[in-house]
Amino acid sequence: MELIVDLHIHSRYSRATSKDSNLEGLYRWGKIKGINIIGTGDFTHPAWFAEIQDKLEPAEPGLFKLRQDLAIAIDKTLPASIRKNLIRFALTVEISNIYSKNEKVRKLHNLVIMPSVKAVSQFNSALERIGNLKADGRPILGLDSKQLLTLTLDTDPSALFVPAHIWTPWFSMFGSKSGFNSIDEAFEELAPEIKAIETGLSSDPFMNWRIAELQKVTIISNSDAHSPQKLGREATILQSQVDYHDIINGIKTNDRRIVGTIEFFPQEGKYHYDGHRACNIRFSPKQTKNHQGLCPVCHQSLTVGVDNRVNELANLAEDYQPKRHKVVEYIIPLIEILAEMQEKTTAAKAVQTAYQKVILDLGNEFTILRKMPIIEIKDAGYEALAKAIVRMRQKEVHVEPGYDGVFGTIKLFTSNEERKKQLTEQIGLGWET
Amino acid sequence: MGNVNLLSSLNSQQQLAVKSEASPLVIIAGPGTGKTKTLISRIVYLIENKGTRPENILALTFTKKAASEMQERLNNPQNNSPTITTFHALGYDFLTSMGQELSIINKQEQQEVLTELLQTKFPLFKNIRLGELSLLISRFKNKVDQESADQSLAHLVAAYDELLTSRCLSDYDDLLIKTYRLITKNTRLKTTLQDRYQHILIDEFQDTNHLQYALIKNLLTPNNHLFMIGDPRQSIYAFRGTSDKMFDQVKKDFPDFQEVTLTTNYRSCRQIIDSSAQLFPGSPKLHASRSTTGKVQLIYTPHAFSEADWIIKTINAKIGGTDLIQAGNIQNNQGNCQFSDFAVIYRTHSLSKPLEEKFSQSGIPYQLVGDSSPYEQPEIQLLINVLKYLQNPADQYLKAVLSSPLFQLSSKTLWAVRVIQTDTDYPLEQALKTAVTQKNITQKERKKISQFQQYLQKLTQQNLPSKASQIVAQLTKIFQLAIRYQNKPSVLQNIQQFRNTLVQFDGIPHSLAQAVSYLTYLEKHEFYDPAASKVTLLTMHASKGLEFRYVFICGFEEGIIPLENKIIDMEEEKRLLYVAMTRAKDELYLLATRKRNGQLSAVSRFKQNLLTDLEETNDEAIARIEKKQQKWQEKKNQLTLL
Ligand SMILES: Nc1ncnc2c1ncn2[C@@H]1O[C@H](COP(=O)(O)OP(=O)(O)O)[C@@H](O)[C@H]1O
Ligand SMILES: [Mg+2]
Ligand SMILES: [Zn+2]
Ligand SMILES: [Zn+2]
Repeated sequence: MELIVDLHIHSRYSRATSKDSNLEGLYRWGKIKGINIIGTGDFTHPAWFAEIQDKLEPAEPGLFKLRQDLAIAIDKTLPASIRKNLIRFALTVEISNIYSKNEKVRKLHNLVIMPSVKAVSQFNSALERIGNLKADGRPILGLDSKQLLTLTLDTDPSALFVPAHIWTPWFSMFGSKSGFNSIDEAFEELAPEIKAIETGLSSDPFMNWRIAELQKVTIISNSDAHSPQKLGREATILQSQVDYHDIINGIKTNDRRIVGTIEFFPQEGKYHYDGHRACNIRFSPKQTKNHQGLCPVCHQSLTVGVDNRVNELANLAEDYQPKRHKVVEYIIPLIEILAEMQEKTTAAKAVQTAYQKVILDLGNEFTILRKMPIIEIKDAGYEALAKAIVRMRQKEVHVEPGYDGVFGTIKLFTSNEERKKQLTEQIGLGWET
Repeated sequence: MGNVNLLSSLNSQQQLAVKSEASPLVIIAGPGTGKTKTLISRIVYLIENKGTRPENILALTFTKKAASEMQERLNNPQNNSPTITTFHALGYDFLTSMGQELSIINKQEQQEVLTELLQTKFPLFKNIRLGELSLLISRFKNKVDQESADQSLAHLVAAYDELLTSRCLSDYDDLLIKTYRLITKNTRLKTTLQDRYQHILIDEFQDTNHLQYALIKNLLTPNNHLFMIGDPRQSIYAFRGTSDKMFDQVKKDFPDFQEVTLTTNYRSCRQIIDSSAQLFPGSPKLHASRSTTGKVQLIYTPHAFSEADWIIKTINAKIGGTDLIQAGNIQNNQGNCQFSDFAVIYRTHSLSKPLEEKFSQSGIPYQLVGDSSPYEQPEIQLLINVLKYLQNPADQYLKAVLSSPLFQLSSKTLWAVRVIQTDTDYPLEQALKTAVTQKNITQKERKKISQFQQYLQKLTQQNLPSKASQIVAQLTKIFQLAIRYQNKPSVLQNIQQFRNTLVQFDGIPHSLAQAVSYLTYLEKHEFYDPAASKVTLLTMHASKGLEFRYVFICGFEEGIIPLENKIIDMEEEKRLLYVAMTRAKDELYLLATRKRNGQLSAVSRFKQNLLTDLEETNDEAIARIEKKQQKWQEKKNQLTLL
């Protein structure tokens, strides 16, 4: 069956996360979003791991489900339209490896996915000797990523190790600040063991395919959500059984089981372009080059974004596309679409209410955004929304790229006039309650 | 290790020390001059170039940690490896090999013995703290010439020894004393040892006390070779009766000694060598092998927590930020360090509390060495001892379990149990049964014993799982730790973490035995793992022999450095500071607070010694706090105006 998979998330035990990043919250939002396999995140944290063992129970091989009493209690509060969605958890963690290699500081984030509580316990105890696991759900280890890879596979050969958001400047395998220039450089003779990489919000598969080395690995996408509402900002689509091993083998072989990924528009990511947040400078790679990489305001070197860094490492042209490739679907989170339509922020009460109503009437978010025939959306009384979704599906969007930690903006409409013209009065009706 | 390689990696002074045939060979050398390296090279040289058999070599040092490290640095894969050990372990092994059964008295029992003596026969000593008295006794026992000592103390020690003997107990000093007596009395034994240990090498010789030295002298013949290496200025165990004059004694005893000095410091940058040398004006200068200048800085900070913050901030800056926000804000983050390059050193463990709190919150990987290590906490010690007992149900482990503060037995009760044991020769379990019927133990205490017996019963009656981590889980239940510590989440987390640590032994055969041997290994290293990529937090005493690129010395204040004590040995305090400072390879930071524990603090008097080229700065936190105070003052003034 088709499975929507999001393996990179954080619990409330990670820094800068929401208080309701708990298993119940993930379960609830997984159903709302239409995600089937959710990473637990943070399994190295003793308290979170205890919670995982308490609140989850084994389901299909290598997968876990929310304890029945908890699940029933949540299901009662959900509309029938999404109540039946399948939710399973996989044991995951993101680790921050900080170490020095070849005379340079390296900072990489790596995702580890494990098939069993036993493997996790064993892995945790090894790491406990190396790092401080209780301070942060995403622990910092002074350990070479290569050693972490070895440790992962030694612990359990069916575990999966994925370099996370590989392009972000500060903490990633290809990051401009403290990364490497190739998988080979980072993992040496173990490079073939890297079977998959994560795109991160600021890059999409097409950008990654410009690097020959990355055409040989599976490209996956995850949300890196710090609150359950952000689940599924990006995700991976699989056609597989509900079974850890089937999913992981799919990822490791990149065979038919991998359908493709659901992507953020990469420009919306926080590090797409170059620039200086403090100096209000946003540059395209070309502009950066014209300024010799320096900020015209403070004259320090600019934070080099993902676009630029991809150009630097790419062996293939900017417009290159593999002849055959996996599916790449772009989405804008439903709440952002609704907010733009109402000219309000995503936090606005009216927008939140509208979101709930759409879910109640139409079902989970991914189905609405990705699959639902436009006519059905219209017929349910959401004519304006239907128009907006058409634009999104056709990638008719207006972009202001993100830079130096500032999220980019993606607009379906350039101006109010256009918005009004496109969405006639009837929009309002469905929303006001 | 190839022989050619071995010598060529040494300088000419070091080579001389490695090859010399003179005995005794006295090597006096400052910090970082390669003393340990030279000693290890000599062992290798003797075995590989001179055909000396490893079993004919005895290398001695002063802490279990140092001995373990030396063994690892030597990395000898052969079965018959040289004896590398501590003086006490040498004594213990020797005595047990002679068929002696040794039962070492623990701290609580010793306190009880002393209390008893003070109450009955020696009221004179009543106003001395027990800990101090114990040191006095130890120092006394370690003197070879006991005639000159204080007569009343001599009487006390005699009574103390008698009481111990009557209970078949020894203290640590007895290990050496008994060995010494055996050797000096029994010439055949002595010759056997003299024949065996043809080469005796002592590292950190400045920490040898008179008794140890006398013991070594007894092992010497004109054919044996004695190699001593050390640094009088790093003598830091005066409280145990050592002195920086030991080398002088050797020279007096053996007029035809050969002396070699090592004068090149390979460890530290020039600034650090020069600065620390200023503590001893007029002493010969060490030559810096490294060309970089390095850095020595004195930082003033408002209080203990800002001190910890400053250190963490600095480490973060050197690493280039550990999270996105820091990384984005730090301008030049192209360093090349790792967490193991940093050490935070303090005079006493009491300073480690705020540091640990802050480090623990920061997410930076760190390890605490020694007493304040999580492994040293009572709840974990209890679990470790129970595991050892389960693995090997010997009285000694059960006794350790019984003495856990968890069961709150008074030392008087523990001693009473011991008396029953020696009077009746019962095993501990049996002795406890007797104890609960005895009138001289208060009813309250007897109740505690019964409680303990119930635990014990559960422990032996329940079917324990085979996997180490599951055993710990079960023990947690049996001893009701979750309930006992329900208001102490940090303790519970500590237990959980301990359990996680042992999961690595779950999958393998003899899970429990493997876990116990791992824990014993850690214990031997005072819970310091030199290979860990972590920031190390440790005391000055524990720092001896180690090196780090960046060193932070906390509490550079009067009352701490030098430590305020009834008797301050100012020279010793200075040497301690010297040891701590000379651990640094690249940069050294001394930190002084304005206020500690709410009291105004003054910078250490040793600052005077370091004045030349000591860079002083204020932590930004000072300005921040001053500004706040000023505002508050202004507000207050306004209020009074109104
Ligand atoms: N001849 C030498 N050449 C290069 N490095 C040396 C030499 N001798 C010692 N070292 C290095 O200097 C440092 C201090 O050595 P160590 O033996 O620990 O000194 P000590 O015991 O005197 O404090 C170590 O890092 C050691 O490898
Ligand atoms: Mg040494
Ligand atoms: Zn990350
Ligand atoms: Zn700028």
